[in-house]
Amino acid sequence: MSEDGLPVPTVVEGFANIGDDAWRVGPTDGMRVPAVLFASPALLEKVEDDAARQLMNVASLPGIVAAAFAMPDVHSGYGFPIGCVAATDVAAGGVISPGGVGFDISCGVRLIETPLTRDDLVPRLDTLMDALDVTVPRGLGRGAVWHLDGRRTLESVLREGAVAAVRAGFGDDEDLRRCEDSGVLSCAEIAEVSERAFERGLGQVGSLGSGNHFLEVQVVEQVFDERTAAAFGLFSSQVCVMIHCGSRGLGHQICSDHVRTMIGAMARYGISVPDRQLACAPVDSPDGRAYFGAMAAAANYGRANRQALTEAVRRSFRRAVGTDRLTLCYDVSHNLAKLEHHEVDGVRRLLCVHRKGATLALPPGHPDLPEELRGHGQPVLIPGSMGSASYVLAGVDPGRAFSSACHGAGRAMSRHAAARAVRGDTLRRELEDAHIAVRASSDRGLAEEAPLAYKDVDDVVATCERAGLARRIARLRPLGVLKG
Amino acid sequence: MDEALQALVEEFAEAQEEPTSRLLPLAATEGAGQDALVQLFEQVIYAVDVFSIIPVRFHLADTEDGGVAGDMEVIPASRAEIVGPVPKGVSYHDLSLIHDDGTWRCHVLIDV
Repeated sequence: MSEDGLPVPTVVEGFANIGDDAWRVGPTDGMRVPAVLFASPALLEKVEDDAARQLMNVASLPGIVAAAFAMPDVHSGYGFPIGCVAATDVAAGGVISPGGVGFDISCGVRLIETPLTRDDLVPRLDTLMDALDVTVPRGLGRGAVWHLDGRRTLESVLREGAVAAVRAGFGDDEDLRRCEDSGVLSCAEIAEVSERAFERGLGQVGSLGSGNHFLEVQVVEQVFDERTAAAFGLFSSQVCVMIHCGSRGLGHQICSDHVRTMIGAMARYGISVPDRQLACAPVDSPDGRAYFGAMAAAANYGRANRQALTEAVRRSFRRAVGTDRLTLCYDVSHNLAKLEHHEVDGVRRLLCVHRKGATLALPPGHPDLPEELRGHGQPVLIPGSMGSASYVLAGVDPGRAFSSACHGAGRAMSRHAAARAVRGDTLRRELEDAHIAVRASSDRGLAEEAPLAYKDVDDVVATCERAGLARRIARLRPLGVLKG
Repeated sequence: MDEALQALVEEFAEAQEEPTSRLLPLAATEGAGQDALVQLFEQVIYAVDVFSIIPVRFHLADTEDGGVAGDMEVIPASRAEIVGPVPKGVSYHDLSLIHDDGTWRCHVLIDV
């Protein structure tokens, strides 16, 4: 409220509707391009002023093209909002920003498919959850699935990602076919990874972490497109496992190291930013290249992490249910910057596309997709909040925001607010009353991830579809939740 | 600074009554303001991650060259009760350290 008692307009009220659940403002006040927000009217009301301002700040970055895009699950972050896509023109001095990727580099989602139906699993669900509880390390000091024998092995993880994990016996080559980038970015530069990052990474390959990271046993509740679902390996009532985690302490350290470096370096490039967490350098500069190489190393770590955890899931299923014939639907990252060619104003350009809390959604026909998926578009994996639905989407043609889609439900409430509103033990009971088995390390961690802390994932995903970002293929709901 | 670091730990672990058996050093070279706070927070987060320890008490003092240094008493993480998500990184966004009317106040966003 203003001093005279009148309601103060929210920042998003300054955005104009441009159709298909898309809203736009600018460019004004230092913005180089417009800010475009994808949201239903209900989601638009939940966009915080901070998130909208952060999006407009992103639109002021040197070399940014087209627009600063916010996905339907956008919420305020550090510098960049979470749920943001921003592409910069490399040849035009466009920048790369660690804040535009996020602390948890290559945080992502993997969906594992089983041959089981819900009816097959339910009698053995508690046994399975107990097995997962033991075999999936999470939280502080609980170790990791892959005990690296030293720095050289970690170096191979940073160079080769999920490929290194498969070579070490965690899974097989078929898994790699269903990973974004086949599980590895070839541009990793381990010389740009600090000693601290190495130390933090040594003991965490094959660990879940805590916070909003989880492993869920899920069932396919609804199929929207039978043909594409079949191509993805999905069927109604199928039991699946969704893993959400990233590059752990190593990725965080790399982000911290390079944000600090760029804060000090920006003046050399004549760059100033309204928020230090937006610190950046030209992609084509020593500092830009250094971060990009380190980021790729962290991305490889995140892919290896999820690959090692997949093996723990296979072991648990073998022990509890008698099968380890688990296959991979797909593995996506939702915190990454990639060099991609896109047409902007009729000209093909090399862009640095930042996706922070946003997922690549390659359209049908894209050559980077494995052959059996090429006719359908890339699987896009959307975890809902704990206890709510998750989704599998598919990339569409032509797509928008440089072929990007949302990454989850998006927080609607801070962790502190959620912990004040919800008791973890009460939530645990509510989930169990809803027949969702829970294995969580702390009640507070559970409370902070309560469904009421997140936006409506059904609305987020429906908005993605209406806005032409991706289309719904299947809806899954949880049977069991494992959290750090 | 000690109280700020204590608050960081209390967000995710309870261990104040535990007897400690180890000291780890802490030092901030970037003055004694908000950037020093970030340095100290990052050192605590690094130590928690790498050594699986929980700090119980902090002992910091200003140094002659304008920095802050000292140490922290720690225990193995297995002896503490983990009550929240473990901190992983420190953001510069909305960072503040203010001395106002005889009271210090800080605002730090921690990524988990």
